[in-house]
Amino acid sequence: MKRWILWGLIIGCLFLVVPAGADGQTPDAGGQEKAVVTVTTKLVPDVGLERGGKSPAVEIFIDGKPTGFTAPHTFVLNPGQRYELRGKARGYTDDFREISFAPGEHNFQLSLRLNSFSFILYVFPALLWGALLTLGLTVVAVFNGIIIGTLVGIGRVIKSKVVNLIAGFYTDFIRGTPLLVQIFMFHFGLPPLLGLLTGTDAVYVPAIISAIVTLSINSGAYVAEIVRAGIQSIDRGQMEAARSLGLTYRQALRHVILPQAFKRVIPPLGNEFIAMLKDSSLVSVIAMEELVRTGQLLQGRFYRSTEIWLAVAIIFLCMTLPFTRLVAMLERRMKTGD
Amino acid sequence: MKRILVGGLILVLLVALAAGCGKKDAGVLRVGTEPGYAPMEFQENGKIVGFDIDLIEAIAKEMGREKVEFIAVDWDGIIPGLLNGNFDCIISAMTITDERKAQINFSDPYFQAGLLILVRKDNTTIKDVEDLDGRAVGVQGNTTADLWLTDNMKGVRVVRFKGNPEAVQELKNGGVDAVVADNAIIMWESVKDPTLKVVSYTPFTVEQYGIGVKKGNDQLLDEINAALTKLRENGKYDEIFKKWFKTE
Amino acid sequence: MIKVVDLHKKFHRLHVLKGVSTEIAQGEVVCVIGPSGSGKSTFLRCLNLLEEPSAGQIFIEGVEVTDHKTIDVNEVRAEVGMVFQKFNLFPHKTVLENIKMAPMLVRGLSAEEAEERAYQLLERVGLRSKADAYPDQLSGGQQQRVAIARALAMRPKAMLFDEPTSALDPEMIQEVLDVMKGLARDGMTMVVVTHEMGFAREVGDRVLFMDDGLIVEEGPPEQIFTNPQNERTKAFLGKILKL
Ligand SMILES: Nc1ncnc2c1ncn2[C@@H]1O[C@H](COP(=O)(O)OP(=O)(O)O)[C@@H](O)[C@H]1O
Ligand SMILES: [Mg+2]
Repeated sequence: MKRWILWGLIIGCLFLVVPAGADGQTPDAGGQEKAVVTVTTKLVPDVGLERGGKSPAVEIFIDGKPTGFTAPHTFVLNPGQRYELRGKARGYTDDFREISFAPGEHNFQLSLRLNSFSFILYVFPALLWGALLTLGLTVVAVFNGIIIGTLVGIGRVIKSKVVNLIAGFYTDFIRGTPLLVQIFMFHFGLPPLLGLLTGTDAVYVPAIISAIVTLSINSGAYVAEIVRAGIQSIDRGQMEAARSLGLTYRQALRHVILPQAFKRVIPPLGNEFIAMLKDSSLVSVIAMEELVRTGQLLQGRFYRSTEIWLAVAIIFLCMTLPFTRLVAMLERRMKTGD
Repeated sequence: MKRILVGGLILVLLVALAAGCGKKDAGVLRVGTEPGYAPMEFQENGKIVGFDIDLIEAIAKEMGREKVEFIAVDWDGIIPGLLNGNFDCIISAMTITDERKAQINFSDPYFQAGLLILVRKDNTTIKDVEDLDGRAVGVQGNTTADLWLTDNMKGVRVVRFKGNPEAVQELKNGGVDAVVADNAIIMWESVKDPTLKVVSYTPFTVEQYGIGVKKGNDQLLDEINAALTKLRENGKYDEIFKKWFKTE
Repeated sequence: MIKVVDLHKKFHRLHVLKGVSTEIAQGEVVCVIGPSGSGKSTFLRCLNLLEEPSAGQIFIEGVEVTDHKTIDVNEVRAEVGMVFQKFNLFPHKTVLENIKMAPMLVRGLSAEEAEERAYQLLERVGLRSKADAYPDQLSGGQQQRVAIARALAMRPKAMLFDEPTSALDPEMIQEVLDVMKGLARDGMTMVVVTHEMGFAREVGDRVLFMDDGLIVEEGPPEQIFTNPQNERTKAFLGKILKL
């Protein structure tokens, strides 16, 4: 429970340090006539327009007092005198400037930026779509990985030189090369090769398929190592006892070794899931807009890195924390009868 | 609780330390660039080369700098990198836009560009921009190609890659129907790879490249602009232009 | 019933059994003694083919089980029960499931038949009330008794015991030995690696003394313990009897 409070505190602090930007402007020296100032506004990003709705009105304050007007509005001010002009709108950070005007007509634009909270809300749906892809890819990849990894992991321990060799080569290759390289190899490297083999142009593999296949194959190798280690961690006496009773190797594996290995494998499998949740962001190189990539694209659009990466981190935490809890709970429950 | 406080303190100290470490060597101009955009900036034999590269080197020379240090970065990290002070300026075929101007300052325009469409040679259906509607179009994420298509062509499925080379490879493999990027780049790719072709040689946007400088660093900006003007006057600019764009 | 002819076992270059020959009659209880590392366990494990002999022959009821072409090792193992020093119960299964598993998987018994058999055997080892316990809830002596019941559930023709009491606290040794005595009395053919002289004297028909991969001396327990002929036997007995 304490940990949750701590997370809350950290996130709260981050909100405080998120800067509210306002550009300064150099005032002109005054003259005799009145200064006629038309105050207009710019909202960035203009959420109302982006969503096809109505933008909130910007209230104008002069020297701290509400004028009762919303922008655009024209004021008559004393030239040369310094005013504090402030624009306020719901969900946006105030823009306020200390300013004085020369006589004559002026246009003055207040520029209000979405405040951090509203901005995060604004980009949240896009990030959630990314998170959905991340989560989906991870779940599918680790699920396939568990199937592949269990078979390959068993393949590494059974008494068959050929199977050992193939399984060993697979795990060595995958674990010995970066996931990024595997994605590039599969998605960009394979189609021309397939094309060459089939005598046609490049045989295209859709990015989503490439992503699922490479992540699954990658996860499979890591799960295989987990499974192998799990099987080998079971006391030799278990296999011997089973065989001495007349069970075949397969029966012993299935009824005696694997059920015990399964329990030991749960915590590292949980780690594998969390690792994959983070590593899956590498599929962004083949234009999969998962959570991290969505964050990057939004950053390139709005240049508000603090809010975006904070939101991305929070979403990741929302995916990993409950999961770590679940694994811990499973682990505890599995302890009985071991 | 105490341990957390101490940890937080150490963190703050580290951040302060890192911020204070932005030491600068006056003789060196540190330039951020994303070298995946031939012929403007790209890697050749382990070196970064291109029009932009030659230009900034000439500018630095004009400014009296002894050395130019190139820092290769991802496109997505190029403006944050400048803002963090990882380098002094950006030259990376960057179009001057309002959104970017809100973040950084730009030099005077040094190159006029516009978007073109690249397709596979056998493609006969895409004849102009409108034909992109309903198709998958590869772009580099957060380039003007991405922003323009996203804002102006709602029917296009914009496939955003990290770099332009990946987008072109995807086009060759058949994953997208077209690639949209700046004219110089599209033309370069079409010349380099005979299986690709340019749809029309007239760009459908007009854009200006600028050299990006951190806001407040007006001295550097003025120096760059002065050098740029000088290079245009003394013919060096044309020399560099001719070197990279032989015809016209 | 069991006949061993010139049995050799090598682990790579390590020559562990150097030509063991002996014959064990139906219903006979043979105790094997000898210094640590002399090859007693290896000999026992060869008898039910947990280790593959490097050379030599083993016959069980006249059938050569070392003949790979005609023999299914799983069938042989099913006929010869084995009890280990460290019990090796299956920790993820209850006592009842431990006993039921092999008869169902290997002999094809139905769950009811296997269960009935399991309860009978638990009765016999005095642990009927522990049927639903997990192994880690039992004492060492209880676990070893369950292990014996598990082996018996296959209705083996012979039983092999590899130091069944040496991992036990002293106060639990007797309960296990009592079960084994009961088995001997019922006519089970048994090969027991043990240093329990009392047991050997009481129920053993014959004692084999092994040293350095060979049977150095054999004979009735009384003779071996009180009047050993071989120097090595004397030296060994001198050491363990002093304890
Ligand atoms: N699986 C094995 N691989 C290699 N050496 C073994 C193996 N099993 C037993 N040995 C060796 O064989 C010798 C005899 O072992 P063992 O039969 O266990 O002796 P004992 O049971 O009489 O103490 C020892 O030196 C032991 O290290
Ligand atoms: Mg032993």
